[in-house]
Amino acid sequence: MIIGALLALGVGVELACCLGVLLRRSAIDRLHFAGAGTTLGPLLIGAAVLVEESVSSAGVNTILVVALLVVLGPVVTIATARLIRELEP
Amino acid sequence: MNAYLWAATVLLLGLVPLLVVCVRAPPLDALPAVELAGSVTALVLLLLAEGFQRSVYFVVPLALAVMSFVGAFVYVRLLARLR
Repeated sequence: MIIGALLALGVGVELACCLGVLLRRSAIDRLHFAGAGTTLGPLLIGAAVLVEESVSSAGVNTILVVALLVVLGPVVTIATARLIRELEP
Repeated sequence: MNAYLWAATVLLLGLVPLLVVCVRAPPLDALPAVELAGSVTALVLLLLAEGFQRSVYFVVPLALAVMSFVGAFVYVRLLARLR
């Protein structure tokens, strides 16, 4: 039950972010949706996997994947935002 | 099919709008789509690994999470030099 809810929430958030990237026109608006997609969705989906796996080899790998996405995603988002600010008039 | 495989299949559909943006938008506008596509693909692989119950498959999304970060940074540097 809780796994299904977490999966549905995580996948729904990711799909909403993908649609947001498609529907927005400017690069900085698209970056907001991309930034949300690299933090919120991975946390929910990772939690769904961890409920099933708990502390196992797969669980540790899941924690690593989610941590990498959540930590490194904003770093790339900030670098992209700086680039957009430099290049756009 | 279990819930993880269904979730991975539905999440794969999220790559379609990102592909449309990558094809149609200018490079700077398409860069956020490329970054999000890396995260979505890593999550799809994570869900597939859990869905197939093979712990060795979990290495693949781990490698992709690192490589998509490196790839996005390469694109950022490349676009900065091309201005």
